[in-house]
Amino acid sequence: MEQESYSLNDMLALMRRRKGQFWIAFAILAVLSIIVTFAWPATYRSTGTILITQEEIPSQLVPSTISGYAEQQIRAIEQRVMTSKNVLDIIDKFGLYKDEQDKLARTELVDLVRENVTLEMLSADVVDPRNGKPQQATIAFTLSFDDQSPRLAQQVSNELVSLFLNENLRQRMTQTRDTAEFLGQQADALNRQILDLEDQLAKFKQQNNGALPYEYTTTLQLMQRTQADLAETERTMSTLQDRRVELESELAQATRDAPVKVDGGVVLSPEDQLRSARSQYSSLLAMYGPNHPDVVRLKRQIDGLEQSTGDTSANPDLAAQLQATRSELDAARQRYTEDHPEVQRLQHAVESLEAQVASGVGTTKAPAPAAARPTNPVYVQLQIRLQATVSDLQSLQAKQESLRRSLAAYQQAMAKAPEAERVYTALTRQLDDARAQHHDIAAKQMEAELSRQVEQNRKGERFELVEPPVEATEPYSPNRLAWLFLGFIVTVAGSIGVVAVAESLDEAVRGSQSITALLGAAPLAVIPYIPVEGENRTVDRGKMLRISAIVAGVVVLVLVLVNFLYKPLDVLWYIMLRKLGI
Amino acid sequence: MERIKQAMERARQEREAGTTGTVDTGSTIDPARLPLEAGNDGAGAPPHISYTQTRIVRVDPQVLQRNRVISGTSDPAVVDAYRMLRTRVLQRMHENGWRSLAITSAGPSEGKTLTAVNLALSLAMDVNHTVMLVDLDLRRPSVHRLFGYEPKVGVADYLFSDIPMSSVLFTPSVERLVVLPGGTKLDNSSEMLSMPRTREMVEDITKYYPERIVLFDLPPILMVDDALAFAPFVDAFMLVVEEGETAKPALKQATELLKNTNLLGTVLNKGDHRGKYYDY
Repeated sequence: MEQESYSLNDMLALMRRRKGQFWIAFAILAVLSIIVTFAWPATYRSTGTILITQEEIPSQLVPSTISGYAEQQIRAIEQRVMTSKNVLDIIDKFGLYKDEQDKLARTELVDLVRENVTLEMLSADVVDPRNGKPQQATIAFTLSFDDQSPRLAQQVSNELVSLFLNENLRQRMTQTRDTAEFLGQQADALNRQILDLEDQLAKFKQQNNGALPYEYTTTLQLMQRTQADLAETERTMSTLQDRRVELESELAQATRDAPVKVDGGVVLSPEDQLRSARSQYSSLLAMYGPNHPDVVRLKRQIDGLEQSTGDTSANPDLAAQLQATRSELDAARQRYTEDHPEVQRLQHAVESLEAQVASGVGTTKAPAPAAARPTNPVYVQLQIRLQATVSDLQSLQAKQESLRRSLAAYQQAMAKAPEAERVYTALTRQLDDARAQHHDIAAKQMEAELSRQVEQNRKGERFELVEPPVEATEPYSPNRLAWLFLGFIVTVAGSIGVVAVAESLDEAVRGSQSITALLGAAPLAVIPYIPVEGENRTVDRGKMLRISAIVAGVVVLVLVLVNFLYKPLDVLWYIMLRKLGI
Repeated sequence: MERIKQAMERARQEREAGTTGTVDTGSTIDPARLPLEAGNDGAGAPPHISYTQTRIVRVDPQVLQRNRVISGTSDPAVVDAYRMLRTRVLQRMHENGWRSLAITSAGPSEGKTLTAVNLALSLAMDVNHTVMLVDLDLRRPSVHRLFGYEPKVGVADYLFSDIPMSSVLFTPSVERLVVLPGGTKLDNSSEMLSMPRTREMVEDITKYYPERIVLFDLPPILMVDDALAFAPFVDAFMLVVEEGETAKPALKQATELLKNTNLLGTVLNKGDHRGKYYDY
């Protein structure tokens, strides 16, 4: 009980005691807050509203290649727009913060601008069509700039809004273009890959002709047919060979030339005459030596004949003659001894012939057809048939060769088939994959291209300036009425604080309770203040009067000075009312 | 019993008064009359007693009032407060058999002298005692000022020059109260207060008058060492505390200094708790 009444009394005593301090603090703080409220420079705000419009072409028709939430995009754009460079450009362009430019660093100026830019999202409650959850969607945003000059605020705000719009457009264009370009590059790369694979496949096919899986049956059939052909050819060849042997033997039996008769006898052609003369010349030369008149005559005859026939070739039958002569020589040796004249003559002839043959005169060549043309029709016929047979045989031989080669090739191909199949399958599979991918990418590229077209034609989601920044007529801040109220609260709180501080700093004894607390014993008595009659009050009253007079005098003086030196008081009054927004 | 005792004491007082002063009218002190009233009336009417060797000073009631000294016209609440103080002081002094009380405070101008004067007056109202008030604040003697009287000599003169005590004393036209004023200002008062002669003087004034209570007005205890130097000669100390003025640490320090003496108690001066104690 004692304690309660003490604290209440203590409060009352405190209030009585600290009245003066309280009012002094109150007056000072009140004046300060009023001065600050009215002297604080007004700031104007200019705001532009930008609507985020939906795509004009439904995304079901042309899906956009731009994803992400609107707010995210706006923040990203903000980061791009509010770079130091851009902000410094704005500062220079509009001459912002001229006063501060000398005092502050450039970066601080940039921060100042950034502080005065306000970006606010306007959201709407929507229901997500996919999962049905309610959520906030940003449908628009406002961009504001605060400045002490309403005009500058509007200009800068305008600039910022256009920067935002341009950046958004640029970004969307870049994004769609990049997407399309990327997809195009991918498609090109795939295309190249496909071409490359096709090339490889073609080469492989070429290298493995006939070994490829789809050619297997064909190759098999071809091989069988070739084998049959080969057998057939061989059979024919053997027949032909038989016939050739037969014909050769027949030809060997037949005489080459038929007899020629002149005047009822045989008439020799110059060629035959020449041949006969040469034949005689050889035998005569062997018999008599070169200077024998018969030999010389024959020589002359041969020369003449040669000239008339133009045939300078030597006797073609030298070899045959040599052969015959040697046969005769062999036969003579069996009959006679070496010293026999016949043997010696033959020996001599052989030597001569051999010398002729060795000298190569007219003996290297086959007998000219005209010269060698057989005259016996049977012989000729046989010869022709023989020739036809030989030629058939030759062609068949060639065919056989070719068939054999083909067969070998087919066999080789059949051997290679399993390996070829593996490689071929791998190649074709790669090619199929690449083609499928290319198909996909191409489709996507088409979509991206469409999306790009949409953006290019400004049909996509985009920013639309619905409310351009205007020059503010009313200051945005300070709200002087609110500031006054706040100032009042601060004043009261501050005054109470001053009193509280003064009280806490005051160590003086207050009340008998404090003595009891301090010394452990109550005072013997409490003597009240003894007022001296009359004196106290009159003194206080006089003091109060004096103070009031001084205060009133100072106020009047200040008002008079303001009136004449600054602005007339009635004007000030209206200014104050306007600032309060009344 | 009590009455007999009182009568006997009175008779002894009269005897003692007879030794120091003479009753010029031959009349006795009227115990029914309050000393304050006597002081009030004393301006016009002749006093009932007069000390032949003690100067009687006629005190202007307006002076008293202006100096906040209690008188017949004082606020009864204030008078009651001093009565309360008187009673409690008396109780304690009787309990311990103390005869002398030194009044001091922690700092200057906290109401020592006024308290001493008013306590002395209040004690003097009690017919069982005679009171002597000694101004030992020799650096700034001021007890006499409260009575509006300028003495020519004081306690210092008595101690240093060989003049009789009676020529220094005065009585402010209040019965049973004698004042020993400070007189000349002294700067070496603490040495003076510890002189053997001072001891003798204190013994004289306390022992010769058994029912007398001697009050000493001393300088502030924290300012000068006078009070401490004088402490051995006095029975008890009383501290005056001024509301809103005396700092708590100073008060604590003062009590620390006085802890080897008998601290009778404290008085809260200028206390503002009227409603609590006095509104009845």
